[in-house]
Amino acid sequence: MSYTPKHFRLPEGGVLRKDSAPGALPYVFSEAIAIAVNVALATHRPLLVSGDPGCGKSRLADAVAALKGWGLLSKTITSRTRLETLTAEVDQLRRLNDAQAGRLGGAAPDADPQAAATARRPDGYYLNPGIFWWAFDPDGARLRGLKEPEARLHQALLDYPGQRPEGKATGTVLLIDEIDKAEPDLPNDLLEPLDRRRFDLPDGYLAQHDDGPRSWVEAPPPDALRLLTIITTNGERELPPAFLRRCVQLPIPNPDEDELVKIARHHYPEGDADRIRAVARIVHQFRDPARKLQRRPPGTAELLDAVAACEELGIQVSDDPASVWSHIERAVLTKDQDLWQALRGTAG
Amino acid sequence: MSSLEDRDRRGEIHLGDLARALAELQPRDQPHAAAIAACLGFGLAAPSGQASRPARHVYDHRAPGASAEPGAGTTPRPRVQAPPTPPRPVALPEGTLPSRLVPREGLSPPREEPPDWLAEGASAFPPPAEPSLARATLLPERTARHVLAAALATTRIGGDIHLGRLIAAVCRREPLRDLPRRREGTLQRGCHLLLDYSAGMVPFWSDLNALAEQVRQVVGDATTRVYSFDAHPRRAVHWTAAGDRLPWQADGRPVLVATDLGIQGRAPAAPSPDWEGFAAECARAGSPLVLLIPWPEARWPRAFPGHALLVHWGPRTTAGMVRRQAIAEP
Repeated sequence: MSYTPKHFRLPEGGVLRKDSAPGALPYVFSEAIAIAVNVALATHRPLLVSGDPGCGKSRLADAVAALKGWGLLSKTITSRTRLETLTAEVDQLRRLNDAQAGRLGGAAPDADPQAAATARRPDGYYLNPGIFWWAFDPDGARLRGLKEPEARLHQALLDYPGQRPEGKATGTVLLIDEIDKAEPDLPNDLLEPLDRRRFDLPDGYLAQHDDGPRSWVEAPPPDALRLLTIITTNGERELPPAFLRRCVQLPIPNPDEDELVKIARHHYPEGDADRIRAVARIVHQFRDPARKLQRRPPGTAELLDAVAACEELGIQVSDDPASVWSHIERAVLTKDQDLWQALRGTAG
Repeated sequence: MSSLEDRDRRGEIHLGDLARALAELQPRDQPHAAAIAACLGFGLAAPSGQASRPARHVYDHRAPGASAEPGAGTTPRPRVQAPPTPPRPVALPEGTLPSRLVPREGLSPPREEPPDWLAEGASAFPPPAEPSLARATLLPERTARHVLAAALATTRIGGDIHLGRLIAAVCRREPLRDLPRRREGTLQRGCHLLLDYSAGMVPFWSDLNALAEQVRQVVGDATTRVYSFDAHPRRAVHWTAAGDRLPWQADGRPVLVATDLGIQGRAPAAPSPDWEGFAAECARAGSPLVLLIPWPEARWPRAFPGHALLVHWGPRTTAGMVRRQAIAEP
């Protein structure tokens, strides 16, 4: 690779090696990936990563966080995810039950800790911070927007929901995974936090800040808080044009056979090289026919699962439809009996 | 850029982002500059090989004919692009070559019409390619997403808090285990899209094809199944990539039918019995039925089953109209 990114240091050969950072898994950076990450960091724009399932979109966030020594926050989107889930959500049920029990209304921060069990709880007690709050203002999110003595009195302190390196992280990678699973309105709802790095709290709620209570949460300037938002999509559903026009785009192509071998070798450096090559060849061979049959082709994730199974169980690749390997093909690579039969051209 | 400017709404990616990225990253050569520009949606080539599944680049600054070659930008581009010149036809040899295609008696089934290619002179070369002209679809891009989402949304519990029930529970001092919530729209259930390829729909065939793509984009590839039929919706079939024929069957998913109901521009009093049976089948399975009709409302049959939502398939249809119509349906 001839490209040298300015905003992060690529490891030798563009490969993040296993355990080069705590908990890191290998990741092979192509030039296109390095350029796109660099552009996203330079422009402070979210990075929209698209590609087939299993091609390494989500793993890119782990790899960048490991390379930069940043924290990692992630949220997998479902059809039930709403903007409040990602910013701040009120535990209304708890609040209501406390109201009926006469435990609502707030307490003085200097109240006797012994009286905490009976103290009236402040509104912030019922706020559940989402990943945007944790990314923009982790200290405030930890306290749910309360003052520290108040949060301690009511035992409202929260633990960081992501991964953070030892010591003080200088930035955060925010992974919003599989955004195409969301209802069509959600991507447009994200424009405010992505664009302005701020969001409004639910009506009537305030968060403490150095300048006093505020009805919103915002991130410090980019110089003070480095943030890279990575959003992934499998392309199952079209994203709104207004959303797409705000993102740096990175389509990750499926790796070819040699790249598959390279990836697998980095994950299993002690593995049987010939066997890894044979598995990669079959994964590569299955792709086009699977696509023609409008089925999901096996990706890098399936390759690694198959190699892991072979290494662990000592299975050899074989053309025999009655072999143990054929079960690996069905269970791990195609995950579909009909597809496997079509690809292998077998009748049963 | 100052911090204050960063705090303001930044809007869509613009030339300033490109200038900033190029100034900050200082690409060494033209390909790297092109790759940086491509990441931001500005023309030129992608940094590496094509994705296996072409990405849908909605935002694309690429001008037709733009080139990545150095110095290409110095050549003024004509304001109006002339259509491409068709390739020069290959010179054929003089005379007529003898045809070896001879109808054989006894091989074809009796009383079957001979195929056209046997009766006519076989064309050795396809007609010259003509530039395809841009054509506005019946649902324009700017509204298609919203209209289809409004038409195909079903409801589920999980929206805003239902204040009425909540206040009632509080007043009665009932313990609450779950918050009463209102119903919200969702596309989670996917849809069956039935396309009417009957003779009366010939003027709209390209719209049918565009509609299939639009629905997939809004509802999702995995949750959309497209069926086709010829005038009789109960005989709609889906052809799998493997060539298997799957007949349509209502299964509770919303059903969107693009059809003229066989009216062919006229104004019948009632739809054909087949349509009534089809609507009844949808109702039995609990499948919401939405019909997109390209003809104006004045020509629709008067007595279509009440639970079906009839929507005019035209460029002026909006999501608000669809929602209002859905509420108005009994």
